[in-house]
Amino acid sequence: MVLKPFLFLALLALLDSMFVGFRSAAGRNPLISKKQFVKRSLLMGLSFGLFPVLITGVCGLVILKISSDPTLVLEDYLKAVQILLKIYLPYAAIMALAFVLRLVAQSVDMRSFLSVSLFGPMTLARPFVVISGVLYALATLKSPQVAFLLLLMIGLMHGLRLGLERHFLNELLVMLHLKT
Amino acid sequence: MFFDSARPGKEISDLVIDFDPLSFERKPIKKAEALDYFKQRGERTPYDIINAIDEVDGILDSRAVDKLILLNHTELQRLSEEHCHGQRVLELLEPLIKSLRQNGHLERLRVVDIGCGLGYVMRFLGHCQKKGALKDVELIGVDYNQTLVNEAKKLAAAEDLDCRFLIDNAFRLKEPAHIFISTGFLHHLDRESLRTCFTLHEGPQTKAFIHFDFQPGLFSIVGSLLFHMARFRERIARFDGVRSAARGHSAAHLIQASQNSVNDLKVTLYGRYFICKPIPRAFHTLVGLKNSVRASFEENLDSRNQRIDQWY
Repeated sequence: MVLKPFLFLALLALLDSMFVGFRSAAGRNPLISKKQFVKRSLLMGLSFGLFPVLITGVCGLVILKISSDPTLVLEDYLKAVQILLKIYLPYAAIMALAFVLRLVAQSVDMRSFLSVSLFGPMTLARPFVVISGVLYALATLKSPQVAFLLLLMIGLMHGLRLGLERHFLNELLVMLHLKT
Repeated sequence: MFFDSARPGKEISDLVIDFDPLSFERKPIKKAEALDYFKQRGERTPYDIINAIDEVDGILDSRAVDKLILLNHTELQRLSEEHCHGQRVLELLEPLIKSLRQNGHLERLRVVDIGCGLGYVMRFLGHCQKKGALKDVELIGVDYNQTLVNEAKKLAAAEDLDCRFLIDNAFRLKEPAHIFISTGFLHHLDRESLRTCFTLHEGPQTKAFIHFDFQPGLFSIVGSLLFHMARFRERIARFDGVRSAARGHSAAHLIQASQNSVNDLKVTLYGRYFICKPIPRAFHTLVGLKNSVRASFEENLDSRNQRIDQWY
């Protein structure tokens, strides 16, 4: 039961990683049919996203193990996860709704409208949402262990994005014979 | 500043590459001249982008420019995909071709994309053709830019698409176009060149044209700023993309330029408004066709015929 919020947050992080893969690959393949490419980008995001989740999880366990008061640290972890979910879940819900609408929308106008009014602004808002969740948790808890784990997590997620961006750019440069 | 791009003016890609209109030879571009344009206007972002391009004896290195232009166009394709530009062209082209057939034009129709770039629209239509759309239609993309045309050819071959790409002048093809199309091309022309371009449309073979381009206005500029900030990573794509939206020709100007230059065709604007009249779309479409085809074209559009403005 205690594990449930942690697993939920990990699941959300993996979902986000999938879309990091998708966003990093977007605009990096000029073919017309690219279902396989998109699938691969989602899978890459998901599989590489396991690293930040696992590393943060293992670090969290180690901190818990070496702590003089593990119950207090675990309580802080739980409170932090609840705060993060409070911020991230509404964002994820709006994105999920946008994806459902995009999937069912037949009209090209509706698809464009969703891009401009939802996907674009929500993509722009994503870093601010991530940071505000972390700041809210840090300000509320003032726990050095939680601060370390949260900063580690966003640092690793940022690294994941940079790595995938670089990978798909290189892939495009090779495809266009521009790699020197 | 990123917001510089929302002012009308030249795009970076207008200044870093140029071709002779007759021989299609690439002209050498002096880096100092390209930089000077943005320096005079006090635009830091494009200045820095051009400044970062390698040079050889003061001339921009063509390989470095090609890399920049190709990355820009690949990101631009993303915009076309997200805003369904290929689908939008198809939705007008199909009823248009059906109308031409109904009016006795049964020959193989040649559709030519002016300034096709990486050929996204032609390749998209080629892809649709494989699935049974646009029967007996020849798809040709034309551009002056050798690098983009060669890449378009490779991409079409990679997917086995039945479309051709030529380094040529779209109005001087050995086999002239029956239908001219373009997406995001008209805003590259100044007012005088726009009139000349429409004059060149006139020819015994020309049956119609469909030109998609930015509809200028606050909506398209703000939308474009947001979209490019959120989506594009290449700085040139961000700058040129937003500037394109800022320099589109107004509906009135497009009508005036085409009406006065193309005597043989009736012209109108399609899809200026989103849902209802006061809400403008970011893109509008200039359509020109033979008067004899007009009625059947409107009929073939079904409910979408409400999007047609007045004919001139």
